[in-house]
Amino acid sequence: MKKIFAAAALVALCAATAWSAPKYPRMAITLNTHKAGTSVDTNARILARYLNKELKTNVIVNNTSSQLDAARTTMNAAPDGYTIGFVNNSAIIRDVVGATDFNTVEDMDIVATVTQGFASWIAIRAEDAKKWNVYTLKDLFAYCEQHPGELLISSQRNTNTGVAVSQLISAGLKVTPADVGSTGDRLTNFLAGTPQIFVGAYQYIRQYVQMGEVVCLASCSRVRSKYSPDVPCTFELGYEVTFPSVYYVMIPKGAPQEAIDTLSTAIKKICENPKYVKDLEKSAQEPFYQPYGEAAKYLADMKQNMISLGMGPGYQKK
Amino acid sequence: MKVQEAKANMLAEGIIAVLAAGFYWETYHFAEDSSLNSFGAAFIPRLVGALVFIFALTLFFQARRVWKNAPDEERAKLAAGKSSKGALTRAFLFIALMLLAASLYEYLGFMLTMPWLMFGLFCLAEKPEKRRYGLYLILSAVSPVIVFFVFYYCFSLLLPVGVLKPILTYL
Amino acid sequence: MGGMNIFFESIGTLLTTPTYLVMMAAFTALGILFGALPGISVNMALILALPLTYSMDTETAMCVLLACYIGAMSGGLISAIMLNIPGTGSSITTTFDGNPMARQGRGGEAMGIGILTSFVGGTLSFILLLFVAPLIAKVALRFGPWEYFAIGVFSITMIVSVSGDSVVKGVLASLIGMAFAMTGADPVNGVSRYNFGFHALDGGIPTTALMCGMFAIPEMLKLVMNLDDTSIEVRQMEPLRGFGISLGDYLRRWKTILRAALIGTYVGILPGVGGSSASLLAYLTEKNRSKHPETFGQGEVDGLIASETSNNACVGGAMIPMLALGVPGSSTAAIVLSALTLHGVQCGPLAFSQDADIIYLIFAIMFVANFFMIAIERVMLNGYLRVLTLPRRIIMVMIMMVCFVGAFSARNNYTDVFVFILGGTAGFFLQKIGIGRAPIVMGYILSGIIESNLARALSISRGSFWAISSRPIAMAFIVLAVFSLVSSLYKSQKRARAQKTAS
Repeated sequence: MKKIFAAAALVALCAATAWSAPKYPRMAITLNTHKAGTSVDTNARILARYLNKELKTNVIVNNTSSQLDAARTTMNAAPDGYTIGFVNNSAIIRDVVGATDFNTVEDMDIVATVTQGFASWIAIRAEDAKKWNVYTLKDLFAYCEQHPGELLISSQRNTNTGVAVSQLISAGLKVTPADVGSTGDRLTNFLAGTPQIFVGAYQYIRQYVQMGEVVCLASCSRVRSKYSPDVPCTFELGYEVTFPSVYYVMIPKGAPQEAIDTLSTAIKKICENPKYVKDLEKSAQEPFYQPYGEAAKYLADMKQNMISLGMGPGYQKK
Repeated sequence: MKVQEAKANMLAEGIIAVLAAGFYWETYHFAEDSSLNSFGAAFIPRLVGALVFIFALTLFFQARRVWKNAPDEERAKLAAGKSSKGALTRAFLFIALMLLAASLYEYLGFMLTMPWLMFGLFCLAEKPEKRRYGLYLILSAVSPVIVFFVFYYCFSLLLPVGVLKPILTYL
Repeated sequence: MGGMNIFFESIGTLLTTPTYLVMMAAFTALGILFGALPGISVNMALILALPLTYSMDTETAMCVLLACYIGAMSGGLISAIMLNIPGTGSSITTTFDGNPMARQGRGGEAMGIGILTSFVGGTLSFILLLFVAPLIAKVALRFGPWEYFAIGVFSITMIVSVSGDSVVKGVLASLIGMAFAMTGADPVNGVSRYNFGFHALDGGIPTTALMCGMFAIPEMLKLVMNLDDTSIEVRQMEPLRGFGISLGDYLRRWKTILRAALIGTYVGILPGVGGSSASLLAYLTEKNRSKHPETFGQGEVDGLIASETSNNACVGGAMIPMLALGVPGSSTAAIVLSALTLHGVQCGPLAFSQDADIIYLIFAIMFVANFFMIAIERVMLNGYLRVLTLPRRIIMVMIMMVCFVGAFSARNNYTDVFVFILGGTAGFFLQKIGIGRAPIVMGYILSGIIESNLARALSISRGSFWAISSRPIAMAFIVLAVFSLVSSLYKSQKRARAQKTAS
């Protein structure tokens, strides 16, 4: 009798706990992202920290080998709401050029966009600026017009930087692109003298600009960046060159709407948190929240824009 | 090279040469790329494939020469020599067990895969008369659980949960 | 001298703040444990420690991460010596002489020397870091893609020297390693290669899984196939006194130590080259300089000293481009840099003036953590020896479980577990025919450096390979590579003729 009573009490306790516990999330959430040490990973970890507090659950960052791998792992995970992915729009570039085996926008649900940042600044070394008498972007265009193909511009395939470089070349900059790898590699080679033009994130060259060793000619954006307010943007100079990096959260298709709504609301609150905004400044990002539905449309439009610019056909299902 | 090694070398180098040829041939099936560089994705693989093929063939003929030059009696003795069937069977079982565990790892999860894998390996790695089944059972049952929870609670690393997901919901 | 003042003040702060001391001690010990476990790489150790630092202030977070880094780099020697399984890539060369010493009953001596020499290597490189980091950082800028390509080629030819008697097999082994590295998206164009439609391999074959497989699976297969063999057991060892070597004996090897420390620091400075190349170059330098090169690989103390000194010196070297240029010198440094960014520290040329407090604190933490490392490892040494007297068969099965964890968790990819098993099985059979595992793994590691840098170099030179002739440093390495290959071939032929004459 005592045993039956004890068992019944235990069952009642479990039921009460289950009834009073939030419906979602009930367990740890896995967040798939790029490999450790990358800017995507850094932003993912910042977000995970805030999601931990907002959702009152453990958000575990899982590093994969690439953004596409993170997206694919998320897409193939069980749609129970406990696996999400965090990548930036470089994954969509790979989709556009046909380097994926899935549609990076339509084959999963986009929960929300989280942050955006200007991905590319254009810079040259101070000694080159003096040698060529080039101090503005217009000067650079003029110099390259007189010396077509002579200068090398650092690039990296299928990344935001690669897109910015393509746009610069389309805008009439007569340079030769040189794929020299990631931003760190591009910086090292640039500082050593070749390629002569650096395109990449501002935080890498910030200190060199402050020291006067590097001249920053423009940010590839529609408006000036608050991280480099003295540096003009390409749009104000009359060049339509911009490709911001946009970070977003995705979830497998078919995930419960409750999970999507809870995550989207949490991300919105995080984006409004001043502490989060301050943390993002460390990686030159700013909050850019778009909720479920709008985020997917935004990214789909971005993808379509890239296709219409002739960057590629986009993923074609076979 | 000793005569007994020559036979194994001939077989192995022959297989490597064939694989290298396949490696080289596969480069013609790479997707086209409009590189920013003057050599594409296939250049280094072709170079490596060709060199592996050449070196493997060199070693194959070297081993063949040693084998052919060996006295007939020695060759016959080596050909008739029995390799330890028990050892080979255990090696095969080890690989099969590991591959089975790898195949079921995602579905069963860490805590349900490791116990039977570890128990199997403990048994394979010891003579029947020296096996300590009790110790093996305890180690196989307890250590995966400890490792799983230590990694989860101390380092936020979630190992595969597999079918235990509903039970581990309240982690 | 302002920097030195800040450095000594930082040392004082560290030693008088119990929180920092406790964190450094705890995470050095944890790092050593992770480094000792095959399958848990240094990178993984840092990734596991990183979330713990979120709620900490910057100084405490640095204590945790850097102590973990130093512990993990050194911890690799434990499994390398006692199990013949390198805990980290930079411990591969430690297996060459460390494990033979263990099989000879000198495991305690090997561990003691390894620990001592890790400490010395780390300390020497930190001293260099402290005095000349910004100056040395400029050296990294003189190395462009041509130079890295040439270093990669040179390292491949040097690998041949550790491949035993057959030069051809040595070259074949490194080429097989390079072939493994070609799976996945090519490093420059992103074209998928050798994944046969299996997209889980788009990221390539992972280093941790391959290395772990190549070393751990053959050891396990040996146990399984040889139930009667007792030679696989590491011999009973007496508790060690001191570090297994007298001070005089150790100091007599000062040239070896200094050379290895300089090689390790210098190679560490070069972004992308890594600790495994540093330890290989240091090891082979000592072997080639030795009057008795035939003793290398049989339990030669100088080989162990060269390997462990250089791989810990590499830690200081890798910090230099990271702190002084803002460019991570290795994937591990990239994680440290990302952690610094998360805590608001901006690295780069102005860091030494604008954030001098933090920068010199980082130096101080690494310096002090090095002392914790030697103390903890020495105190635990006799404990390790006791643990390792447990039946090897039981230890190896436990190691298999840890390898499963490590192989999967590096990239959270189930395919990596298959890579671990199949790669290891292939390694076992290749080893049977004299194709060594170490050259395969080194070839695998160097392949990325060679291919990506060649592509970048040709991109910069607009397709002209002859542009290398205008790069003196690159040409010097290419000439050394040719010389190294020819010299290995000549020695191999000489040995073969001598053996023929003797028989």
